[in-house]
Amino acid sequence: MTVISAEGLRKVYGEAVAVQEVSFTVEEGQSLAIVGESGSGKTTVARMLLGLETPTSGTITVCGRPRPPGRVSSKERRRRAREIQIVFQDPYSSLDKLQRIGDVIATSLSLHFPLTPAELRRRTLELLESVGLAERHAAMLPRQLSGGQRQRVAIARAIAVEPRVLVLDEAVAALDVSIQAQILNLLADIRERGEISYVFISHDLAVVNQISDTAIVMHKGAVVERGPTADLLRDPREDYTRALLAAVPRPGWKPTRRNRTP
Amino acid sequence: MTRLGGLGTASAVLLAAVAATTLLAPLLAPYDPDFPDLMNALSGSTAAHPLGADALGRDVLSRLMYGARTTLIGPLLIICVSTVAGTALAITAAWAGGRVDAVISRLLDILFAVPGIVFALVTVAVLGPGIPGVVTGLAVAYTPYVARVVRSAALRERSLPYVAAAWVQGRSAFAICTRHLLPNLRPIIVAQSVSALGFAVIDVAAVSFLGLGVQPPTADWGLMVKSGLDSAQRGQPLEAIAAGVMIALVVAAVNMLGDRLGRRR
Amino acid sequence: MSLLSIEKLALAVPAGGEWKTLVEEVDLTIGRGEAVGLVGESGSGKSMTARAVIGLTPPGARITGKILFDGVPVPSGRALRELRARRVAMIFQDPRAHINPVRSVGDFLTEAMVTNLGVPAREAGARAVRLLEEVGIGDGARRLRQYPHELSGGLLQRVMIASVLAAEPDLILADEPTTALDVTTQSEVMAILDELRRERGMAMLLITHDLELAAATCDRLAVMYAGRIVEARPADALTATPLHPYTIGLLRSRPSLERVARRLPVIPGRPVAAFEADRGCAFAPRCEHALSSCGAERPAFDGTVACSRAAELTLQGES
Repeated sequence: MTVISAEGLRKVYGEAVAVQEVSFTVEEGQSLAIVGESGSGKTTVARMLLGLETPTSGTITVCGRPRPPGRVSSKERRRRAREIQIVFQDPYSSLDKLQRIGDVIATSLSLHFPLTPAELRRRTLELLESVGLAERHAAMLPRQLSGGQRQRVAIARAIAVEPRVLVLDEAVAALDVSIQAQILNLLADIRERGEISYVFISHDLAVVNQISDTAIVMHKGAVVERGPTADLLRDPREDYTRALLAAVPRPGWKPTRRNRTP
Repeated sequence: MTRLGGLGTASAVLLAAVAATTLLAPLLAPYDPDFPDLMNALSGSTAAHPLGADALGRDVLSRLMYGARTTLIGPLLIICVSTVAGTALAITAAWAGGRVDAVISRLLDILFAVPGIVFALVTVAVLGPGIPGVVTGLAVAYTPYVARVVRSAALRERSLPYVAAAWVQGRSAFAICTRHLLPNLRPIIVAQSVSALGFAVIDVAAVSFLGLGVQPPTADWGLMVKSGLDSAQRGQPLEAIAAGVMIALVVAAVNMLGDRLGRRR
Repeated sequence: MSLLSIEKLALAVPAGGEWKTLVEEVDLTIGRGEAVGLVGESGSGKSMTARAVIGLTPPGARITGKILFDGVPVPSGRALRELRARRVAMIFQDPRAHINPVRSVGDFLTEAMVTNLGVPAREAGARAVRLLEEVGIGDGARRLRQYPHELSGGLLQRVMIASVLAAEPDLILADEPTTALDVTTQSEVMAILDELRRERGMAMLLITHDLELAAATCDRLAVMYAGRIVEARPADALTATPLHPYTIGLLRSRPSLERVARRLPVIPGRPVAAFEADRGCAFAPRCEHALSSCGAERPAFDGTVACSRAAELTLQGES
C-alpha cells in the first residue's frame, strides 16, 4: 500500500523557486531517503508533507487521502497527526524547555487516545522504555538530558501517536558519532517492530546507506536522480550524485578542489 | 534572591517597605493626613512634624505615607491592563502572522507614536479628571510598550521546532499559545512590564501634577510636588523634595528590578 | 625542535563554586609544516586544548602545564596579540560569528594586513584580490566590495582562510572549519587549506569530530576522550590498527558507504566531560573490554595510547 504520494510539488517564495516538480511515493514499511545539500529544497519538501508549508502547486496524498491546501479543523488535524509525524534536527529546540519529559509524551498520548490516568502513566513509561530511557527520566526537564537523550524523547513523542509515516529531518546530524549510531539502531528497531515508513531527510550518504531502501537526490529544488539506495551509491548516473559521493571522507580519500568558483 | 544581586535585592526591599508602609499607614502615620494644623503651616522640620507641614498645616510625613497608595495603585492598574492586553495582542499577532500581524503591528506603531500623557489628556477630557480617566488613557498608551517586545520574542519562540512538533501532533493553536508560548515568554513579559511600571509612576505623577489626575485634598506624591512648589517659593522646599525623592527612589528601584528580572535568562 | 609543544596541559573553569576540569594531562607536539588532527566528541576538550594555545580560554579559567611555541612559553598580553597576529592563526567553525558583519570583505582582509603586517594600504587591496584567487574566489575586486551577509558559508570560510594566509603564520588552528558546510564544500575547503598549507610550509592543528576527515588530511592524529588524549599515532596506523577501544568504537560506529550493517556496532552510553569522569579510566563504563581493574586507576598516556589493556588486545580497524 502506498502511504505517501507526492505529485509535481512546487514551492515558490517570492521570486525564488525552492522546490520544483518533485514527485515520489513511499510504500508501507519502506524507508525513503531524500538526499541533498543546504538549499536543495529537501527540508521544504518535508515541511510540505507535514502541512507546515503549503505547496504552490502539486498534490500530496497521505494514506490514500488527498491533502488539499487550506485551513482544516482541529479534529481533522488530529486525524492527520496519526498518519504522519516528524523528528527535527536540533534536539535542543525541539522540546519545550519548561515541559517535563513525561508530560511531553503524556500530552501527545492524551490528545489522541482516551486513557485513564493509570493507563496514561503506564503507556508513557512504556514509550520511554521503548526508546531506551528510564522511568526516572520522566520527571526531568529537557536541560537535564544529553542531546542524544532528547532526540530519543522527540522520537518517543512522534511514535506515541502511532503514525504510519515518520519524517526524520536530519534527525541524527547534530549528534556525536557514538550517539548517532545508537539512534540509527533505535530507528531500525522501531521499523522492525511495526509497519512504520520513514522519510529520511539527510545530507549524509553513509547514514542514508544505513537507513534507507530507496533514495532521491535533490539539487537546487529538483530531483536529479532516484533509485534503490544501494544502486544509487554503487553506480551513480548523474554528475551531481557522483560529486556528492566523491566528497564523503573515507579511508584512502583525499579532498579535491573543483574548478574555481567565480 | 542572590540572582537579583545586591542592588536588585535592595530595590525589592525598598519597594516592599513602601508597600507595607502605605498599607499600614493608618497605624504608622503620626497624624491624619487631611488634618489641617494651621498653627504649624509651612513649619519646616520640627519635632512634631519631622518633614514639616504643608501650606495648609497638614503633616508631610503622614501625607507621604498615605500618598503612596494613589501614587502606586494607578500605575499598577495601568500595567496590569496593558500587560494583559499587550501580551494577548502580541501572541495573536505572532501566531497568526500575515495580515493579522500587519494590522496589529501598525496599530501598535500608531499608539506608540503618541505620548502617553496625550492619551491621558484625551481620556481625562472624556471621563473627567481623576484616576479612572488617567488609568484608561495610560493603559492604552502602555499597551504597545509591552506588546512590541513580547511580539518579537513570541515570533522567535514560535519559529522553534517544538512549536511545529506540537502543531503536527494536532494540538490546538490556543493550547500551544497558552501552554507553551506564554510560559516561555513569561520572563520577558515580567521584565518588560516591571520596567514600564517605572515610567507609569512618573506619568501618573505628572498628570496629577497637572491637576488632572488625583484630585485634592487626597494625598498623592505628584500633587505634593505641585503644592510643594508653591511652598518652596515661600521658603519651605521640604514637601516638594520629599515627594520628589520618593518618586525618584521608587522609579529607580522598579527599573533596577525590571533590569535584573530581564537579565536572568 | 617542534613548533608547538604542549606538556601536561590541564584546564579547569569555575562553575557553581567549584573547578570543573575540561582538559587534563594533555601532551601534544606539532612539528614545522606538520598537520595534526585532534579528534573527539563533545566534551572531549579538543577545542579548549587548541584555544589554550592562543589564550582564547573562558574568563577565569585555570590553566596549568607548559605550552611552548617555537621553544618559548606562549606569552600573554601584548606579546600574545603579536603572536596571534603573525604566527598562530585560528579558523573557526562559524566564520559569520568571527567576521564583523558591518564591514566589507575588503576591509576585513586589508585591515589586518595594514595594521598587523605593515603592508602599505594601496598594495593591500591588490594583495587581497590575489589571496582570494588562491582560495578559489575569482572576481576578487567585486567580492571585496561585498558584505559578509552576501556570501554563503562556504565562501565566507574561504575568506577566513584567505585572511589567515595573508599573515603567513607558522601554525593554523582550525576548529571544526568545515562542520557547518555542505559535504561538497567541505571537500573543497579542506583541499584548499591542505594545498596552500603545504605550499607555504604551515603547520596545522585540525580540531574535528570526524575521524575520517582528520585521517585523510592530517599526518598524525590524537584522539581525545573526557579531556585526555587516549591515542596519538600516525594517521594511517591509527585508523588501520587502532590501539584504544574508544578509537575502534568511533571507527566502527560510523555508518559506511560500502556496507550496510543490520545493526551498527555501538559504544553504549554517552561521551562524558573530564569533570564527569570517575577515578579510573574515563572510558571504562562504555568499554566492552573493561576489567574491574580499569575502574581503579586512570591509565597513563605513554605517548601512543592510554589503555592498560592495549598490549593484550588486538583490535581490527579499517583496511
